[in-house]
Amino acid sequence: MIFHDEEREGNRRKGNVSIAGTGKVAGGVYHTVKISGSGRVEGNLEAEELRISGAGKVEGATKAREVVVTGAGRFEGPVEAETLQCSGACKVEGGLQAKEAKIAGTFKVEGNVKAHYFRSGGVLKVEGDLEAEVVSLAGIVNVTGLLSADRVEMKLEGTSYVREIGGEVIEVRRRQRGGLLEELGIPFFRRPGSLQAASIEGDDVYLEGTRAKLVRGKRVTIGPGCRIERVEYEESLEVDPDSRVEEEVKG
Amino acid sequence: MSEELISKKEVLRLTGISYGQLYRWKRMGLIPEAWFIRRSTFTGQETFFPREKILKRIEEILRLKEEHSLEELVRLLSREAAPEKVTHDDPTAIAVIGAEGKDLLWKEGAYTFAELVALAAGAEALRNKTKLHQARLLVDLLRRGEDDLRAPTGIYLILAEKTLEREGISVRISFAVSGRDPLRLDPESKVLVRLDLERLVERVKRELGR
Repeated sequence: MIFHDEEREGNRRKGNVSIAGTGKVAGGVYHTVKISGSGRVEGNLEAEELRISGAGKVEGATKAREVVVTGAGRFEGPVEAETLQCSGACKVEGGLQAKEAKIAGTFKVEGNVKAHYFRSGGVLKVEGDLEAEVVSLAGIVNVTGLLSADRVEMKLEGTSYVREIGGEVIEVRRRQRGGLLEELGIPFFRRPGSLQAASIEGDDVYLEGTRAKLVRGKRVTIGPGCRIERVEYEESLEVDPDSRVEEEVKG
Repeated sequence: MSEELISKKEVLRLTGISYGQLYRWKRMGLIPEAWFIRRSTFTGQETFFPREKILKRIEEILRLKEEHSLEELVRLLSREAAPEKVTHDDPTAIAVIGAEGKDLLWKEGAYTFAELVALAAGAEALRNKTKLHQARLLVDLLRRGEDDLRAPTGIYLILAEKTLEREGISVRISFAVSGRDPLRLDPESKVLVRLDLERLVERVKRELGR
């Protein structure tokens, strides 16, 4: 069933549309679009608010102040939002631009992510660069390009891969027992988390469970469970006895 | 032919800026994507910059940031800051496009970075003796591919043709595809040109950095 109504905003009328059950709506400008059940938007969507609970698909570009997905969301074009909240499974087939993105569950972006604040827990895949002021990631991460932020925090579970990390403060820790995925009781995830990267550069770098070709920083701490081919540091370097650094270069 | 390059480490050492600042300015577009040039060295991949440009830009940022916010600086400095903001009025002056690219142009000026890469692909095809309408397929394919251009590693472009015959009529069609390797075509299709998008992007970047 599809309900339409209108809401006055200034001197502009924008419609509300709500799909309950199965349905589709034409692309266009709306105030609120709600999909509960299964629905799709045919074409580009511009809205103040897009809420998907159940399964929803936008067959074009999405521009919205607020996007909330609980369940399954699929965006067949780029997404631009002030806030994006996603729990469940979400796929963005263009790039993502958001002030604030909070993700739980699985999230995949084919393209670049640009945000001020980006937080994810679960399984994240970005086929491109992930750039924000603050990035906080827990779970399994796969970024095929550059992960760059003033502050990068990672809590590793399972096997993660990031091609390059760059920023001011970089902190990669293995998640302590009782992590999100472990709670699901999947034994595979009981191994300590690990990260593989080609290069990691920051002013303050702390790493655990990381295999990297090159780590560069002012102050570098290599915690337990790392294998680093080459560390270049300026001020200080500490290496946990449980880790191996093949080459250390100062200056 | 090539201008003098400087390694990232050397930039930080000479200017005293931090990794945090370098990455932040890159994110904001204050340091153009086009200036980040990857080269293989004996220690693996290393990033280099056009020496004169990067040192001048950092000096400008450090001088101006006392009185301006970083957002204002973006407006002041980033004319060609991010590749999506690059515009170029004379694409044929870029060697990888060159005289061959002249017939591919479709407007007076203001070519974006994606459009320049598209032209470069078309010009490469023409240098491989394809016909003009075939080269245009590559140009059209790439013109809007901003996302691919930011992460071009492993993406290849193929220009191919095949002949379809039915009831004595034969039609020859040409087509262009892009995608991650391995890209496969049916055995009837003949590959005319195959291009590595990453190398193409690097070549355009390097020449823009001049």
